[in-house]
Amino acid sequence: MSNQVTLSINNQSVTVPAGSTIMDAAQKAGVSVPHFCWHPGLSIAGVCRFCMVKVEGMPKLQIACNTPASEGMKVDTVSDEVKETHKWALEFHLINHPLDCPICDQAGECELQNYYMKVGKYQSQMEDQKVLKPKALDVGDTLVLDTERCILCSRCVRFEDEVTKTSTLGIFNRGDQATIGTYPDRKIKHNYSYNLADICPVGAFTAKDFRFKCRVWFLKETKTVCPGCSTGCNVNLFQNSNQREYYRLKPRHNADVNGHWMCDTGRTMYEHLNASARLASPLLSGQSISSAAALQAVADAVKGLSADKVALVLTAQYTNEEYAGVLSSLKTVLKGTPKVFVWRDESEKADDFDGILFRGDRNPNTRGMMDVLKEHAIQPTMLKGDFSALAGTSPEVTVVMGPEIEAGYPNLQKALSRFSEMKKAVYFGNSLTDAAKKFWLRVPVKTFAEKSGTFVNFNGVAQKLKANPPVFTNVKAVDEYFAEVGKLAHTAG
Amino acid sequence: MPVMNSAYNGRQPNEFKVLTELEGIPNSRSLEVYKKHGGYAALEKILKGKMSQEEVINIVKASGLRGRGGAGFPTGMKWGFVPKGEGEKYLITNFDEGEPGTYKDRYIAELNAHMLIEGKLIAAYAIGASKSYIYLRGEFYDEIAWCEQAIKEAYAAGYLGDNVMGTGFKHHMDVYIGAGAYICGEETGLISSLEGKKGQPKLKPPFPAVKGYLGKPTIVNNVETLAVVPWIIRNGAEAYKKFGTEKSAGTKLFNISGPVVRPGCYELPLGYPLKRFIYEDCGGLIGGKKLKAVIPGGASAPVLTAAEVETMTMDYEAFAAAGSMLGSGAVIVIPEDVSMVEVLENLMHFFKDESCGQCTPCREGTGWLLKMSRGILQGEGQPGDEKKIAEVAGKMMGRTICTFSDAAAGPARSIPQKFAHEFLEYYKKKSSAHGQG
Amino acid sequence: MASFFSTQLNEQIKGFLGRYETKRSSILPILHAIQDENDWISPEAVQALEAEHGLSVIDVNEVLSFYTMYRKAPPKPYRLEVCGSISCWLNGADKTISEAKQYIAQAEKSGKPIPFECHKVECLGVCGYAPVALVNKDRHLNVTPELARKLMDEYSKKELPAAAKKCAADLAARAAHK
Repeated sequence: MSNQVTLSINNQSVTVPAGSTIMDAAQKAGVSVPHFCWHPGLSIAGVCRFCMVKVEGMPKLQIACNTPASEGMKVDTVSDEVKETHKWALEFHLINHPLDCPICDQAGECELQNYYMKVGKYQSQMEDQKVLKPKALDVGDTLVLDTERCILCSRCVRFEDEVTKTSTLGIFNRGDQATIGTYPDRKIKHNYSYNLADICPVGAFTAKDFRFKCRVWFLKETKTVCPGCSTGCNVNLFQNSNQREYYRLKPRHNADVNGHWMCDTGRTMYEHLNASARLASPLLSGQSISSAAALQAVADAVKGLSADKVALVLTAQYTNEEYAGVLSSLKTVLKGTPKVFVWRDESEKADDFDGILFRGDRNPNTRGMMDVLKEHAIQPTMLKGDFSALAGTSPEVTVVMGPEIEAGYPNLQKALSRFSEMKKAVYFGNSLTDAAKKFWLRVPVKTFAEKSGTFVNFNGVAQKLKANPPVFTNVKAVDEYFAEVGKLAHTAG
Repeated sequence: MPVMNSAYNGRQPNEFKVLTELEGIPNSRSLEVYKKHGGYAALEKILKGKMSQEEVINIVKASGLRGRGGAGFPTGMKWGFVPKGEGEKYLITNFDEGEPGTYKDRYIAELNAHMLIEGKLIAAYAIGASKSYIYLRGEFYDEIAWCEQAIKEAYAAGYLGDNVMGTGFKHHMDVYIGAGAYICGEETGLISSLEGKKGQPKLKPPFPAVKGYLGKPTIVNNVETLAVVPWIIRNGAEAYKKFGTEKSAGTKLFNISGPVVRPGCYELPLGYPLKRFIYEDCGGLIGGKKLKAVIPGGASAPVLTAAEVETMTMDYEAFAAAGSMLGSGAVIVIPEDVSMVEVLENLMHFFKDESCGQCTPCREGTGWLLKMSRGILQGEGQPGDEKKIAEVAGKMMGRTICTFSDAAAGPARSIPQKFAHEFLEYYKKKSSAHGQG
Repeated sequence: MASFFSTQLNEQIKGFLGRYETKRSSILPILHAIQDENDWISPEAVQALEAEHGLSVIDVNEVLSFYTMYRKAPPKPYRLEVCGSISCWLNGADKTISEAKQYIAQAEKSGKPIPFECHKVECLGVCGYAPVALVNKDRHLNVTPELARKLMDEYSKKELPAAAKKCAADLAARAAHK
């Protein structure tokens, strides 16, 4: 028996693995079949009854999501009969929906709204009083639940049962009183809660972090990679480009890396990107200076030093290209390789894993950094709670490439204090912490959202970042700065 | 509580006694009486005679027995769907009896629950199940006690256990008690309930015969279906087929309700004339009232007008040809002075209350149908509403996981279609009321 | 820590937990058992099932809210549940229900309340003897308004059921605690 079946959908031939459903085949063929409860990352519920299609030879319409595709099957998704069924399926979904789109944050990315525009657009026949249910429930630190908007697709219940295995949600009561909810006074408490807002096809679950902040149609998305840990989930980063303000991240499907999901920690990876959270210009002994002056100061400091008098402290939060650029610039200037240290937070348990996506290595590019160092034949010294190895080399200049994501460094303050005690300590990074203020020189850098380059995840998958225009136009990436330092040192020499 | 009289109720003695042989016999529920009337002889014949599973299935197939719960699916064929070979399999008896108008399965337990237990043992042997349940609705306190007592007796007598009748056949049986949900009478809703969940029907495929209770092959059979099996095994498929019609073999328990003179549970051969049943066996309507309509197979069966009743026979094919169904054999009699709009509202209330809420068209549609029919009763209707009810009901059909939605649509389509004039009277009331104002 | 449930009820619960193929199947019978002893199923009972017997509150609450026989609020000692589905309705169930409710309300008004509440329920499965009603677990047939009143009088004269007494004592204890 062949393990592939070929069927036709609207006379278009498509071949799928045996065991696939009509929905799988339609997805592959690029035929859109309207659906609410089906989600490719969850089990099949078959309850919304929206994805009805005509299968030749079957008297009744079938749901595409649970009907196995078979050899020679002829499927129709566009006939009048099918369209009429879709229209009615939508009508049944809408009769008790509050239709409060003007105050709903889902508006603009609501599947109910989208389908209404696509297959609906009719006067509702329902003239009777709608069923009323609880609204604006606080169901956790991250989410608000409006059970009246809910269409009971059960995606969220299945997510809780199947992905996080937390089973915090249930559907209570029955018939048209059926209502989604948690157990009274219990909250959704796990690191994947925002996915519930994502998979909710309507505005029942909305993210507290995003509610009433911005209409989705003002947002522009950038396809990039989450810097929150070594998994490297594929994400869309949303920015209101007129305001230069970042609002949120959402997962982007990648079967090899993160599937359909991302964690709540990752969702916070926009907060440090906006101007208010960042160092805007370089500071020399606390005084604001131009970038040119700052780089001149670095060039002057390293000029004429032997390579072993310069210490380079790395964190694994920069791109491969940045590491390579910094190293080659410094090598040229110093005519040798500086002492390289890798700073890990002393509390880090790099091998920890939550079984879903989130990893104990809170750096996005540990693999990539180590690869670059290897190419440069550098054996770095680890700094993890104990900084004596750095002090022992008595460097004249200490360059620290600080972590962009400070949350991964719970002992950041302590470590920065130690680094800042070094002679001529230079800090590349945007930290506004008190400890950072003690550095001789501080230079702001581009964030992951503003640079292109490569992160290599825990599993060796190399992924490209995509650059948006920087929030501060004067701020550059660390390798760009060092290229400049190289030139300045050369000129001076 | 008073034990109900046998529903013999003056009916002339006849030759139809298959399930009701113990009617009127003192102490009929005891194991002794059951054995005296041939009880457990069929099981003995199978186990000691070393009949094969196929032989048993073939006899049931040959008898033409169809599921008596309502769907009428051929029983032997259903058993044949269970995969052969090793592995846990389950047999579950549907004793949820929730279809309004239906009270026949409880009558079997009132007569003698051993009929059911022996039938279950035979079915379990045929499909290779070593464990079975009787799922009873929670309100059936007496019936639960009767079944529990009979199971206890069967264990004591060696009909249940690790070594049934010393033949090496192993079978264990337990009861499971529902808690108030009509939908648990749907076989996969029942399985969900038995799994300790909400009684929501399961998506098919997979079908329960392949993946049912706890994902294992499972057969769900109605009480009446199983209770008749010992008789068929004892007397042979041909004897059973002597009753009934070609496509509707055997006898059936008909339960009549509504204002009739002699209500009760009657065993009759399939194909029996409906009019004769109502007027001769059941004595007609109380007070000599005229008949307006009959719901022939439980609340979900489309309604028949008095004119249709005239020539109707009670079998699968005749009801189907009239656009209705035999269902559970529950004949509900509606007299001339009852408004069909009120009947509709009452039925829609039931379906709205009992929808499990899983599939959107049913969850939303049943509530909508109730609101519309209630609106008409309250004088808020307008011409065309009866068509809208029928239309919405039509759009609920064939679009959900189970057939509950179709069941609700049965009366919601047939009543507006067949009794449209009665709706018009409500619309008129409205306009005259407005006129006065 | 003391158990929320009585010793006897705990034994029953443990019996059900081991009786079926899965632990989850025991939810329905356990809820019946709790209701038989306490007359209703309180949120505290649901939480105790999780804390003491490891049943998920979500699973339990889904079941509790889906099935109509489970009482989610403390009831009166006797419940007159009259079937209002089609066959019983055709035989006058609505009249039985409205008159029974009236009878209860009048008793309340006159200062001599009776320990009854009356509900309309869906089909009880004995449709030939309509209207059918339950008084707690006792089934009554052909329940005309007259019979309903007679039944309420008769039961009112009896000693209250054990579950009703326990329910009242639990509520009193709770009120005292507050």
